[in-house]
Amino acid sequence: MKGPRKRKFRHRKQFPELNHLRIALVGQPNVGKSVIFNNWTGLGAIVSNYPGTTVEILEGTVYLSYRDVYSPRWHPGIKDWQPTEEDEFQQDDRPFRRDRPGRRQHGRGIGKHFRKWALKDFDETIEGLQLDIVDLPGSYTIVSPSTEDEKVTLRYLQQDTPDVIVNVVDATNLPRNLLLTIALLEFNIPMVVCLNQVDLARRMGIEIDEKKLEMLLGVPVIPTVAIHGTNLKLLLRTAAKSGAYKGVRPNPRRFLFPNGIEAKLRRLEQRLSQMQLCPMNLPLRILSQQLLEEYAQCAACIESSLESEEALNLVKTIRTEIEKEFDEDIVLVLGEKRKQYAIYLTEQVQQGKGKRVPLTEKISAILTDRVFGLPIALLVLIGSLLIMFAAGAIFDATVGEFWEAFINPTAQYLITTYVPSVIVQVILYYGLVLGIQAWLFIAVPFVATFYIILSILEDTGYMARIAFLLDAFMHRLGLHGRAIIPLLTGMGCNVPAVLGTRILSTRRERLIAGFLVVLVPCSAQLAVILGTVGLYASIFFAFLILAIVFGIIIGLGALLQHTLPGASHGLVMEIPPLRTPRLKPTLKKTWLRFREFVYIALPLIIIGGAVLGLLLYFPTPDFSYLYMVSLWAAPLVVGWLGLPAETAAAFVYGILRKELTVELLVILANGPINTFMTPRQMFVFALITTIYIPCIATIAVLFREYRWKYTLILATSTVILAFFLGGVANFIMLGLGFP
Amino acid sequence: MTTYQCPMCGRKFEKAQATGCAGCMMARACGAIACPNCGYEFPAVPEEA
Repeated sequence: MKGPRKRKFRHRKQFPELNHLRIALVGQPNVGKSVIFNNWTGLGAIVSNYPGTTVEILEGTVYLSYRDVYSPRWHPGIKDWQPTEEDEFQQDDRPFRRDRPGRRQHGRGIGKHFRKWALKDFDETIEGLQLDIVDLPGSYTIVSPSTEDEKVTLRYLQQDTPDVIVNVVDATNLPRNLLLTIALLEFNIPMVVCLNQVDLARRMGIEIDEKKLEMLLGVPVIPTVAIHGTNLKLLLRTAAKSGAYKGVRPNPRRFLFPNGIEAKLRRLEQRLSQMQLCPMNLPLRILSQQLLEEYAQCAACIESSLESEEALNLVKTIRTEIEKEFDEDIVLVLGEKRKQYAIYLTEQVQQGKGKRVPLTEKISAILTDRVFGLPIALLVLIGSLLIMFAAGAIFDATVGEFWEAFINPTAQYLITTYVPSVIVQVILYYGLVLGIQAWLFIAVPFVATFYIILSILEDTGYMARIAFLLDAFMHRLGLHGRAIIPLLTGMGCNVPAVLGTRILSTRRERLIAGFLVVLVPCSAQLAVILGTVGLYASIFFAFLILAIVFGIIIGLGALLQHTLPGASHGLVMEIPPLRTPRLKPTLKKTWLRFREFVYIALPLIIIGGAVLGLLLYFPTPDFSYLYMVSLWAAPLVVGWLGLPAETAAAFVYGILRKELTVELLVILANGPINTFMTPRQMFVFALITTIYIPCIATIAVLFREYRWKYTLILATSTVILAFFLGGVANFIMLGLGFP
Repeated sequence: MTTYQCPMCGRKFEKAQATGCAGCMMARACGAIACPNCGYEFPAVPEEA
């Protein structure tokens, strides 16, 4: 019996140009690219950083085996796409010889005579090819990439130009996925569309006519179920054929913009083609769209040309024309047209969007509705604040009363009786007793409740819907996309929000977002507002403060957006389905956020309370250090702001942590704050605390992210703004008769 | 492999892909994780939990 042939793929000698192909897997995140990659390449993947970036790309090699090539299944959709007579290879119509099952089963060699015959065969030419598979990072868009992953994908397509693109598409979410497909068709690279998760789509009641999609896109479409390996060999074979038969590549049907945009775009393309630039191997059509959308990175490509001024003027003219015609930002106009085309394609090929629409989808549609969405979001925000307020009020009425009536007097008695030293008495009483009391009444009812609500909003999937709605709303003010996320993060804590601005692609966006983020009231500032004004003055005052702050954010955002040159980039989101939050993950998330208030804030409050007690009692209780500081700060604090002089110390403490301000008020008042301040004073105090200088941790990250100059400008301007507004509020309220 | 889903933009990712820890004083000790797509920071509770 003959042993296995050592050299199986002799035809490669005869067609040396066909011995190697590079296939790039491109798709949006979570569509199954990695599953396909692993199925094809096994465990032999090489993980490497793309040059100059930290983005990892996976590379693996696969040789098309006898079985891969002669798998009996043949996708009918690509039958029309065959080589013509002009091509190098002729199609042999003879049927595949299946009378030798033994050989097929073993998959060894194909026999001398059979080879001679099969060399003419279409399939035969790809047998034994070395296919280098590259798994590119998930990208929502490549027209105006904003994340590092998207930039790497675009750079790879431009500079490394694969022989074939396999565009992996999620069949359960066709419109969003087709947005990328439409852009990929612009590249002059053979492409195969992999329609993945068709089983899941079918279970959801979605039937997709892949042949029709193939016809509409002009490239082969292979339905697959990657996790089960269904049709993955067929996909590989089709991809290899697409690459091998460059002369007979299918005719991709490119998307043409409607309403006269197309003509303008072609005018620009034509002008760019005359300039003979674009050394980056970027299709002119993509470049034109990037220029119109003010995508910063393509500017260098244009500016290097001597005729750049003229081209940029043309870009500006076309942009103005389109924006004037549609009365909207060009990013929105072009994005909307692409979206409409993706929806049109989906409607053409998708038969039935599920037999019945689940209730959660109906609710989701209402929550993200253009008309009802924002009022509902506003109600949710007000409801959340009311829940926090109610928690604070209940806590104050129960635990607070108990603490005032029992713990405080007992602790005071024990300390004065058993501790002889006055210094230690002051430290213990102000640090431990009043410190813990202050922490308990701010951290537990307000901050913990806020984090529970935040976790619930996240786990239900509503947080993503708020971001979606805000994106649409803020877009009108010129603030959109990624800049929204740090603002929402800032509601929890400003530190991660400032760090979150890193994700913004331009310095301009980062500067704007950085400025606005520090104005967003964090959970601690919300506690200050609700714990002072809300609890002891009026909840309406608390809402008024929030309205003022958000008004400033919106106004300042619009002003900065129009002052600083450049453009903002959108964010592609995947709205998660609505679901019931589970108790354990929700509580775990709450604790992971809240523990900072236990490990960091509590010791700080105890130390701060002790130091404040010492400042109140020494050198003498009547003429203490705090009194001296108060005298110094009196013109501003008492004269302009109308506050008790001692609150100056609270403002200084607030730089450490915002909640320290109200906690020190509790210590200064030696009981409820309303015995120390009037409602007007509480309002002014909470307004200033919400706006003035960010806390020390935020200043540290601002310094790290933006350097000292911007940090200094930001800190100074917020202090000036806060004290100015505080004074104005004080005089207005005095004029209105508030004591 | 432990995967996380961003509650803000819906992106699923692995811990190695998370960004935002570099330069933070609490780096990798705060129990939080930042989404590589939108930058939103949230407690690192895996999707399966």
